[in-house]
Amino acid sequence: MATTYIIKDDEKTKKWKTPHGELYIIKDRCKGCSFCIEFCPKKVLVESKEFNAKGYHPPELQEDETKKCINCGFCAMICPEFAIFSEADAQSKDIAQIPEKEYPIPESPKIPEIKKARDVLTGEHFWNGDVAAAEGAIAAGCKFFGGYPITPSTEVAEHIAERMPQVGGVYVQMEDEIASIAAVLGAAWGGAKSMTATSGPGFSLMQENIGLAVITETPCLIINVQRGGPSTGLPTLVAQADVMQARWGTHGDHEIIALAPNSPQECFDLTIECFNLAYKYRTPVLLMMDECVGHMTERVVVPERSKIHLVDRKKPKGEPGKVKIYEADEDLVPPMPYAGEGYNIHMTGLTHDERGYPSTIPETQERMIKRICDKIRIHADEIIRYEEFMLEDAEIVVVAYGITSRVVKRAVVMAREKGIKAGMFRLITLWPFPEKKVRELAKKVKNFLVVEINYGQMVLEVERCACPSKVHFLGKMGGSVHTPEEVLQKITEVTK
Amino acid sequence: MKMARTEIKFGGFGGQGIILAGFIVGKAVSLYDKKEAVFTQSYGPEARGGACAASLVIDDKVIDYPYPVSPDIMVIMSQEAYHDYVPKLKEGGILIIDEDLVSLDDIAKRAGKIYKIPATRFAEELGMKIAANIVMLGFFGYVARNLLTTESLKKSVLESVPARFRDQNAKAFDKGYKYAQETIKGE
Amino acid sequence: MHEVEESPLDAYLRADRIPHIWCSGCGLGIVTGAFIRAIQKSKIDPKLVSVVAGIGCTGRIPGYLNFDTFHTTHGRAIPFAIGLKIAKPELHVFVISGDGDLFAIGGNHIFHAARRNVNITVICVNNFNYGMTGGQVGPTTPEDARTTTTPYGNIEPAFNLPYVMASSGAVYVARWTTLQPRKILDSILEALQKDGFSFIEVISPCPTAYGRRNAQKDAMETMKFYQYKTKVKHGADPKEGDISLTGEILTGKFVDIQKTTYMDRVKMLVEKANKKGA
Repeated sequence: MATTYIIKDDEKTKKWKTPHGELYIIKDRCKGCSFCIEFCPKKVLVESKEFNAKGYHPPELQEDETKKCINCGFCAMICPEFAIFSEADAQSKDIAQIPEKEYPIPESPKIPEIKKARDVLTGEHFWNGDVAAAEGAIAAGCKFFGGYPITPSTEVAEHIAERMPQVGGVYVQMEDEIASIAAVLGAAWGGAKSMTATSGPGFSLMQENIGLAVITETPCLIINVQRGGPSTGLPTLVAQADVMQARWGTHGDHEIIALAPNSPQECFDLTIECFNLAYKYRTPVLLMMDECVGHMTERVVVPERSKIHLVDRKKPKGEPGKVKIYEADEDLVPPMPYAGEGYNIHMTGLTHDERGYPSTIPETQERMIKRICDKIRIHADEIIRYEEFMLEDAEIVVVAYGITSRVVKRAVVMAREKGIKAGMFRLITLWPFPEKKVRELAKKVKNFLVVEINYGQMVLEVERCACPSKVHFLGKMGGSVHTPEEVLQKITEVTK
Repeated sequence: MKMARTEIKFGGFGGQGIILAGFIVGKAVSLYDKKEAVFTQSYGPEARGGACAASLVIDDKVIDYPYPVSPDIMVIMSQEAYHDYVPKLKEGGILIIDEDLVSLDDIAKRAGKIYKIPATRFAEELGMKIAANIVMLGFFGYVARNLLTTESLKKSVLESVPARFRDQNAKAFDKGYKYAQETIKGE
Repeated sequence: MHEVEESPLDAYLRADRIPHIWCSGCGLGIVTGAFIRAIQKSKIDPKLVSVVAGIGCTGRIPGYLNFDTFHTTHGRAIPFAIGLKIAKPELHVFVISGDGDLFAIGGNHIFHAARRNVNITVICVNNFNYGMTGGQVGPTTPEDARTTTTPYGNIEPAFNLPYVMASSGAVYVARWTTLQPRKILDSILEALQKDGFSFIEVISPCPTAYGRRNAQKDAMETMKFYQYKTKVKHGADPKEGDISLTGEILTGKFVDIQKTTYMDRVKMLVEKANKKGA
């Protein structure tokens, strides 16, 4: 880049000398806008007669030799194609140049590191699910929470807002849920474990950026404390009607990991598990709580720090500059570079190749989609968790998750007391769906009953996998949980 | 103390500290008496200004269904809560009321035992109306002394209120407890 | 004139992706060049430069820059950049995006980022329309301008970007046209020297989608329009910055003030929360 845009008082002659420049061109970059020709202060350029590879006429020098380049560099600056530049010619090299200016660039204040931070509150606590999830996140090393208050998830944000600064983390209350999730993704690329928590309407707003997290393979946690919907629905009351949205809420082919706790203890444990899964598989993970679990208070045992297993990112193995940032290992998961490490990351929501470069060819799309789905699919057995309750000799399997599983457990006990061989299959992992296990159960058991607080969502998955068994459904539209008696009655009815 | 599943409901209006009262009992049972306890509460704007309720299920065993089905004990601090909840009290269950705020009628006949305390008045006399719930808890602690230890309950009270109000709350608790000792005879 | 294969800018370009997708005469390459030159001149560690963009033609700038670059969703570059900056405060985080991306779909975010005085620099390339989708009306389209969705002329008033940014709390606000590449460069350097929310608007030709529908048959005509209509005035009242279809374009530095930044406040908060007895 020419910096000799100066003239200098010559010591001997006391005359001003004008520097001159040599022009350089990358002809095939030119798109013929003529800015360099028109706006050259010395008018040294003209349009040439020749065509470049793109069919444009790149500039050439004037024949009039009185018009000489003064190495001002304006052509280079005004060229939108990075196609032309000038450098001082041989005679001008000795003309003094303006000394390069120093620019004092301030550094932003850093967040103080907290030594001996109270991030793992080892001991017994009487916490509700929202608080337990927040503490689970902090114990997992979460350092960034972008959130927006929404019932019934607000207590997660409130608790995090109090606790985060104590561990040197940051809670930012963003202007809406879209900003929250976008900030969460940004923080993840900055190297912070990050999360948000929301409920129905906010979860809907987040969907597009959950897709961005999927395609860019950004690890993060999104908690949805489910309430009744659609729309504003029942802000303060329970539902489990976002479980299909969790699976397919964002557009396009993808796999997602979603877990459903049924107690404050599990809110704590599974939040840690969610972060581990997110970092193991480089993917967003959803913790699908429900209002009841979020607001129910129970004893939560926080183990010692050394007993908490944490998964970190896989670091890129190669040198910066030599690593393709989306080149996956054998497990189909690419190591993750963070911003500022010199990898010159390009992250894009466009379909991209292994370098991260956008590509609009179907083959790239095929390869990319297949890998980001398969990295979850081939590890389904490792990811999936469930609870089996009295299933050994069961003649009816009641499928439930979240708060409903606690109703069902009671109903199963009551059914056993009546002599009905009932058992419960509790989904802890909602997605990927434990289809293998359901298929196995279907070989032994003729009747399935799915109990959930919606008008029929996970039952569709059970129907898909439980063939040829009969699948029954006991739903509730939201606002309250089933009573054990209701479930018992249905069990009795379908086992008659 | 051996215990089967026991359900307790606290009812009143928003601002009386009903939810805190339930939380305190739950914490005492769960953390200090080392039994199982699930605490649930009414939630949202009604918990601030309207009728509000808190529920507790306690047990020796792990609790599956976390909500009360027919509460064994009810602590009622408003007439509205009385009408809303007491019809669900277990036949022969225990009813505890703030006698200045709740007047009984036929519904109360399902209760096996009824205990009354002017908790709000006592709190006012102590110069801290806001601690009516704690006076009530002291009273409740005596009534329910076979379910949870008084030491645990008092510890839970003191852990759950701001440090600068501990003394006052201890006084409120003791007031309720003592009143129960004095008035509940022959048990 | 010497024919060569590489430009001195190529060190900071993903040269294997050049030529870029932009039309002949599009101003985005000029902004890209000015940005690279500013980074070179500033001597900051290129490793610590992060550039975030939303969607649109301008949103493609990061894809050509050989720094850490993030092409996010439509309108959400700013919150993404905020998360990035907070997670790693040593980064110099830039948002380079278009007028529609930043002020229509992303409007909410930019105002709040300025209010917070988040430590990022935003470069908004304003070409008065949605270029990538073929030239629809946007929040900066001047009244009466023709776009594909205002075939009878735009009936809506336009945002005056320096004014909305100044009133939202930005500590540095400037506006230039692509005919002032040196000013753009200097402005980016000035913005870098401020540790707060700085905002630079660059008026840029969109010959294909906007210019030709509005009596500028090609980019050259648009640049000449800038040449005749641009007025430079430092310290001007941003209120005066309205842009009409054929009127004057006021450029210059509107705001240059100092305020406590967001990261300052975060630091103070963390210290406060960890003070004994807190």
